[in-house]
Amino acid sequence: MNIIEASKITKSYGNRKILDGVDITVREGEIYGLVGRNGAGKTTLIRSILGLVEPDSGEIKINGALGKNALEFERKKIGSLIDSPALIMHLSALDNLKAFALAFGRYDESKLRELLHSVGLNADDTLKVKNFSLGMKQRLAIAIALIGEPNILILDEPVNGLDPTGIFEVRELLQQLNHNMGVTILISSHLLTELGKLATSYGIIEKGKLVKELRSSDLDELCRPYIKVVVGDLKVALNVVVENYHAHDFEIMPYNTLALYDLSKQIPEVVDMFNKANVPIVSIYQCEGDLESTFITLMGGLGNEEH
Amino acid sequence: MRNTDGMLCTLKSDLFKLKKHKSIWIGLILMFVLILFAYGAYWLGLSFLTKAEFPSDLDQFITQQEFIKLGLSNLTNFSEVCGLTLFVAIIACLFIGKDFSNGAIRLCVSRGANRVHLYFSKWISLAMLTIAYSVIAIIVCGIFTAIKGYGETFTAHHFGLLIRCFVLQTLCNLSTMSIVVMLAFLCRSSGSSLGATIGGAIVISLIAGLITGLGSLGSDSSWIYFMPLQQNSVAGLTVNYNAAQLCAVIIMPIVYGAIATAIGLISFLKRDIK
Repeated sequence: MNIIEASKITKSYGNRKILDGVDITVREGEIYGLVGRNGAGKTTLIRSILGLVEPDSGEIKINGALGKNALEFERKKIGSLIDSPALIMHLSALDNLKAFALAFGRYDESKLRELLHSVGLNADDTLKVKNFSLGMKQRLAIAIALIGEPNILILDEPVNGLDPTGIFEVRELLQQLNHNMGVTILISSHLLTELGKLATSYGIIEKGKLVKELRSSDLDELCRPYIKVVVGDLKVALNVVVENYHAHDFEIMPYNTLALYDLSKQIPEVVDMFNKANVPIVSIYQCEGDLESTFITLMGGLGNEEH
Repeated sequence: MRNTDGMLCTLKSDLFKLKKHKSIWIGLILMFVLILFAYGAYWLGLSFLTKAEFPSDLDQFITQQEFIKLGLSNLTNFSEVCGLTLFVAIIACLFIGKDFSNGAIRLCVSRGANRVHLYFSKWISLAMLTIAYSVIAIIVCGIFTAIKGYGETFTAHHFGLLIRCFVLQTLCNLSTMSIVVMLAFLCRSSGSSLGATIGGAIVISLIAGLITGLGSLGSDSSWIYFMPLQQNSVAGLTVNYNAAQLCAVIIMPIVYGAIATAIGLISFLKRDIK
């Protein structure tokens, strides 16, 4: 079942088009990672889904519901964390939870105490939030998002400012919520490696458009390690490769470069193979398939930012 | 407890947050201090009177009998004596501005809270604060007036006047509060809404002062009471109102309050929340 469906969402501020016909679909039980550089439109899309921003055109459905009142009702089941944590600085952690739980109509002090405990904060601590560390604030914001046991979580940069232990704890918590309680999660993060450990589907946004939507299995395929060979004569090199590699196991890249994915052959064997065919090798090395470079490639490469 | 009634939920949350706001208690203490100053000056004047040392220069402006009656006008004018409007305005700007800047309003909207409910829950909680402040101020003023009296016996007529002044001043204060709430929802930050409120009040006071000055030169200045934020001075009077004053003190606060609420609400419904 589709939990969140956004279709053909557009939003402009003045002459600047922030979202340009974006379509995303988040299915039940999924952890959907939204990826894109700064200003790509991730936060505006999230805000549109949450009703903070009114799109110029397009349609948003949550749990199949459409229309202002129905969406307002469905949003009551969504926990969210957008940008900086929404916290009342002069109150303690428990009082923050109480204030928001009252507003959401989900006040139950024992559950609120449990919630604080689950994110590693002490309910009896009277320390005001303004004196909290960034990590403590982030954990409290996650606890607020979890008030009332929402079945959807929408998180924009939830691990910002957390130390490695904090990041690990948040990841564990989100995975636990997803696996044990079936919470569907839509998450955006700049920490691509971290997102890679969590998400089951990805949407890549670039200049207000969804450029690709893929599952984690597709990404694993794209992230395979490979041997990168820059050759002197690409045509002859291709003939050699076709004879030795299966057609789908290599890729032609710009600047006379080949990516060879079948690692049963080691670099000396590949060198030997090209030498026998008199194909000059400019350079050859093994590349580790990593998530960041794959995302950067999918987003259109480096230095493509709009200024 | 599990309550899903949207308006009631947001109101409960706002009252909880307001109760924890330090500025409420600071405002209350400052109001008490201002009342103490006003009555301290009055009591000091009374002590001059009993010693037959009523200052001759003061005598040119006010008779001894009129001075004694200031005890009653301090009571009927309780709102201006303690600067109630100012404190409510400051608290409203801080309360709403902070809820915008710390993301509380953003979070409530993203959790499906109705924007009309959010606006009116702020309005109602601040109206409750205004009424609570008014009740406390009039009780304190009443106690202070009772200490040395005002040269007359407190009769049913005086009680009626007091009730009239309380109702009308509360109405005026609610109107002012509605304007401040509108400014806070338009500005969306404590600092800028405070600046807009204080700046607006100064400009209107200057214009009213100018008109009053011209009035002393013969122009008709009675219509200044129809200007925004100018009704409180009429609401505290113990005289019999003429038709214009009655209209100014009853109709105008309602009109200004309704217009301000409509502007604030429409802007909140239409604008994106960042």
